[in-house]
Amino acid sequence: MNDNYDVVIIGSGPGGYVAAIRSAQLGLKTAIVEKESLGGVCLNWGCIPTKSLLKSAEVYQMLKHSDFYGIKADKVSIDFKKIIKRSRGVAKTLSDGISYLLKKNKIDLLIGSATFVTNNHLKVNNNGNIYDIKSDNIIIATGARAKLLPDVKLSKNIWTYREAMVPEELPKNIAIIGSGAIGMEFASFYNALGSNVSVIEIADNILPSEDKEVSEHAKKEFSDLGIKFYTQTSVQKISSKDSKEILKIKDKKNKINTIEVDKVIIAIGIIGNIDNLGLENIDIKTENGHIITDKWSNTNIKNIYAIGDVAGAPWLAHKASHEAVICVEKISGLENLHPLNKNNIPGCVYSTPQIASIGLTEKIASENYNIKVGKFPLMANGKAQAIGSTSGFVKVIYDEKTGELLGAHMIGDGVTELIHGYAIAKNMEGTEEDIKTTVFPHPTLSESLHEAVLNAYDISIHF
Amino acid sequence: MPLELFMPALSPTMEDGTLAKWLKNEGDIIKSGDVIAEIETDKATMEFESIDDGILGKILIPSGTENVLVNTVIALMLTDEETQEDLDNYNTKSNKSISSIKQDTETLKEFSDPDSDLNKDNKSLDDSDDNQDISIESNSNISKKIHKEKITISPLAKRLAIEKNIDYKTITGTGPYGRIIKKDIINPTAKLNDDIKNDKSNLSSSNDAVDYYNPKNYDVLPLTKMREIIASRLTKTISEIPQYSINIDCSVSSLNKIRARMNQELSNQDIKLSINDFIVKASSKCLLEVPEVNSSWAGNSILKHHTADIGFAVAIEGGLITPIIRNVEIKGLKEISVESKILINTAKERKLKSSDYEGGNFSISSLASYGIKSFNSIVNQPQSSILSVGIAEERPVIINGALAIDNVMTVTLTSDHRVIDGAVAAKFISYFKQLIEDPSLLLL
Repeated sequence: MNDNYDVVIIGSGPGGYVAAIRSAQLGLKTAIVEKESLGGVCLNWGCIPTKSLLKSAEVYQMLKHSDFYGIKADKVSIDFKKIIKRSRGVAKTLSDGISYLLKKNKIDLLIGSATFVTNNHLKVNNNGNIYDIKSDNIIIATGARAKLLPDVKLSKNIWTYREAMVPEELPKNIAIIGSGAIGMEFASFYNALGSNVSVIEIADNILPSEDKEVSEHAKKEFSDLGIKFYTQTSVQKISSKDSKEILKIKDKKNKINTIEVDKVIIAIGIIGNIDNLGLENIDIKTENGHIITDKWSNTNIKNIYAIGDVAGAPWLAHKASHEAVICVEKISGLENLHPLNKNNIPGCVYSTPQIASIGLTEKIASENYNIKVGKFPLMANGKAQAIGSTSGFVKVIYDEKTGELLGAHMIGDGVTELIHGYAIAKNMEGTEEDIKTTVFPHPTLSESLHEAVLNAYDISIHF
Repeated sequence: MPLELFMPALSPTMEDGTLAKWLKNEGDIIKSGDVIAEIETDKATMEFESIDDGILGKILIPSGTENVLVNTVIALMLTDEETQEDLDNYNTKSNKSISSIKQDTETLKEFSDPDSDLNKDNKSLDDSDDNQDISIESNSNISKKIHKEKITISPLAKRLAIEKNIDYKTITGTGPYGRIIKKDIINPTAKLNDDIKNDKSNLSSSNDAVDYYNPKNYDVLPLTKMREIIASRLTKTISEIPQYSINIDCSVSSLNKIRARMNQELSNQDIKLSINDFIVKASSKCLLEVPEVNSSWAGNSILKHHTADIGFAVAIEGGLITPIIRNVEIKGLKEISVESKILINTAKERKLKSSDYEGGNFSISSLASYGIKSFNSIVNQPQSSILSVGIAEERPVIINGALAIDNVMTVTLTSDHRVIDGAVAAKFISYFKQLIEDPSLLLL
């Protein structure tokens, strides 16, 4: 193996493998180092397998309520092991797909853990077999892992997302600490399959980064489905007793309560994988567990870059992939590049109900602009009525002065497949005029995107 | 055939300018000598006069268009019996205008320095292969081009441009495929001088400002040509020239006495000498006495000037300009006074010709009228020094060991250290002090 590369990427998640493919496309001699499974967390332990799990939960709920549609389905039951198996199978298929893509693009795959020796020299350790590689440019795409609570150790009953994805059996009672996207997706999954789910959130609202109105609607709907919420509440202590976990929790009035559960999922956020990379050998600057980068993903060392979760929020696979492309194109010297505009990155939660958003929340927008807000309830959408998914709404926020789309927030069935409409408009700097004059097909849920904009300008037709 | 009106070259170095405003509309009758448009160049707004009689047939370059290259056809004029039909037929053109354009280019070249940017820009015209094509394009197709050239602009940027009355057709987009995006309109720094354009780092700070402040709390003012030039020149100067300042206090008591007597003498001629006239005169004598200061850095050489051509900064609406009194060394105070008053008035009316403000060797800036005691100016490249004049005021001084009151003025000389060393600057400024404190020496 030739050990002199133009670009070496550490990590093969949605940042790393995309960087490698784009780099190879641009004619750069490229290698990728992976210590575990191709595709990283996203593909093996995150985005993809959870969507498989959630689909199973949805199908189960659909069948349980099939009577609503005039279908009789008696004795519907769960094969939990098969649900998990299918999820692992999907991850495996996609991981194999990455392997094929790397080969196709003639990218060298180096299995092992990489450590910086100098700024262009890595040692790769594959189970004790150590070899040296050199590269003009190195991209750190090592991703992130679950942040843990201080004084809480993982065990057979205390999980992160990773253990929560491959349980042996369905837990009866489960507590989820943190109500972000990851916490709520697991809450939704386990609740739908029949577990008793409690969610503990330290902030005022669940899904704290979402628009408040969406968050409140979500809380109500999740509660109606049986999820129990403890907001403005912190976990003081977790202790084990007779293979149960007892959580001592404190609410905002400093009142202490206890919850007894079988399993605990910690979903309080993530922390960058910056350890054991030898970053200290080359003085790469980090902050709060993440590598500091500029808008081109460049670290403080000229030829070293960091992309995706390891380089900070928002912690989203699609953000990593876009940073990957921009970063590699920058390395290759392409011109007229544009750094990623973080306001234009959509975020999705695949729970039931689904939540999708882009740009500023109403609160932040109103602090910075004079705004126009439009809302359209799915109740008033023909397709939503037809398919029996009438809960939820679409909300848009415009700059009153310029017609710039500042943000969009939606909750309801299928909204994660709708948000890109606003993402395109936002990325192209479309104004309300562009959406007003766009023809949306009837009948679709997407008509709500249209109507929400009409509503912002007081010309709603169906509401 | 309609008569073509070309973008005029108002100075030998002018490459392009802003067609600030049409003063006549399409269809207006034009008499020779009528001012039909205002052209804004680097420094001043000039009137564009017609030299023919006719009817303004069609305006091809709209008001407010920036960076219109010299010799671009800006409008068509109908003469004699010509009609709309002649305008419509304008696309199929004879070569007459092509040769006339070439001729203009030749003429221009004679005036310009062989290394000037002008020639670089016109180089393509000299490459004979492309000659014909380029000329034809810049003539016969121009009206078509203006209307048909596809400008990519985001809907939001377009709306902002219209709202702010910015002609986006002249803006260089920074979005995908050169698309004009919001940022380009909010922050139209795109067209600074070429030298600034090449140095992207100069732009970044201004871009940051847009992101830094809450848009609710500011209005966006598009840059005037003058503001762009000031920004670009001074940024270039401050980053290129190692400059330093020294200052000295001058007693003006005797000067004021002499000045009062002279003004009494001149009162029937409606002339009043100002302290600045003395400063200009004294500076000219210093420039001859210390010729190192009357020099310019020229990269691999230093130019030593023969005459004392002295500019003085005049604040005008939206910026400042530095008209020049030439050959001050042979002029008397009276002449200097009369000439400077005329130049100040012309500057304030924005009617200076480029020859009025180009080519000085030394500059003077005074903030005395604002009560400023002393300040440092930035050297006006390619000059190598500038004198900053503060207020003449009563100050406590020590004379013969006793405290006394005297009329004192502080002057500061800022110099390009590549040309002028500290001791030389000190020699200049101390001679200046001597002249101001004993104005009879100005007669020598």
